[in-house]
Amino acid sequence: MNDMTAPLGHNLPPPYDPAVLEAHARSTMAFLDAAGEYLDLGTIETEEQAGRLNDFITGARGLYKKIEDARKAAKKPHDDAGKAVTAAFSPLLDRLERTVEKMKPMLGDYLRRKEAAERAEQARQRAEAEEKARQAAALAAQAAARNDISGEIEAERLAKEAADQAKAASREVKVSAGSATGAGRAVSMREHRSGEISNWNGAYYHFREHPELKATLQRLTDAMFRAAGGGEIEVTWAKCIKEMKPA
Amino acid sequence: MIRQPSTAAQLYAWHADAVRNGVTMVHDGWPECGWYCTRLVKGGPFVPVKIWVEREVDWDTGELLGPERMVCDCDGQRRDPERLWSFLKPISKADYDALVARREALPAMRATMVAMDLTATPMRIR
Repeated sequence: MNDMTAPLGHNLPPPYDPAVLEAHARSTMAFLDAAGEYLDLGTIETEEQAGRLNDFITGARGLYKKIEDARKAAKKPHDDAGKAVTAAFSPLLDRLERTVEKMKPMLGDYLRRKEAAERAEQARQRAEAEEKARQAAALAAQAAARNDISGEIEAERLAKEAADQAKAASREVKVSAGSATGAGRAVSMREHRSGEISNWNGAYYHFREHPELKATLQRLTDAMFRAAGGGEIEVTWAKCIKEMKPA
Repeated sequence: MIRQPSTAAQLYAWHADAVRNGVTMVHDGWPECGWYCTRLVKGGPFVPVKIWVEREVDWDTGELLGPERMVCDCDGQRRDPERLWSFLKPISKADYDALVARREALPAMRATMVAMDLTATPMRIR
């Protein structure tokens, strides 16, 4: 390695033509420089000055369009390459996505049936526990009546068994489908929530301070007044703001 | 036939009215005396145009010695006013003089047969 060695990254040119960018940069600086002269002037006093400023603005807009066209031309090969990559990979992704979406209901249906079966089993266990508890209570009463300590101990054991069974039967039912190989994760049912609006006025009133709703309403209001053209629209909830600006 | 030369008021009446009130009526092929501007190509710079009447007058009698002829100067060249008439926009004498002066100050305006590219060089205030 010596001073003649090129630095790392020297053979990685920018993804655009630097000469084109440099030419546009020079034009842009010339316009900015000229704009400074107009700003130094302060106010436009004569028709001649107004005409020159108008031509300056026209030229600046035209240069903007030229540079924008150059930007799009420089970007197009990269955009086309991105689109080609997406076009090549998307069909595979779409097929897999649709396949998974088709398969998920099958698993969901199984898990729902499994959950129903477990709930039914729980109900049976609860009924059985209640019967056991009832029997234990009866046995305890009988053993106490005849002073049968062994009977009392047996009745307590039965009651404890019934209580344990009742506790197991009241646990929350959670079903899942495990992995056949161990390599996949277990899948369980998850609750997804959405809203069905029954009262649109109520919904609007609830979200009236939300910035997204305000932005949407502002956009629709602007469009309404613009669509009127030269005509007047009168509404109680807004007024039309008219501003004259050079086109 | 004895004829009196047209007065300036008569010759420039249409132009004065057009500058003051806007163009209300134009007859193709019937040019009027005055000062005008036009473009020679689409997107090209304004060029000054002047239409006036040339005539020979007997200074002893004040009468015309021949017909009054409408002549036109467009960008320093004599042109047929009837052929240009439909493309002319009337301007005041002051605007005409300003246009002539602006052409002296801005060399780009002298290329009258090409569209003017305002993006090449910014229009400056002076």
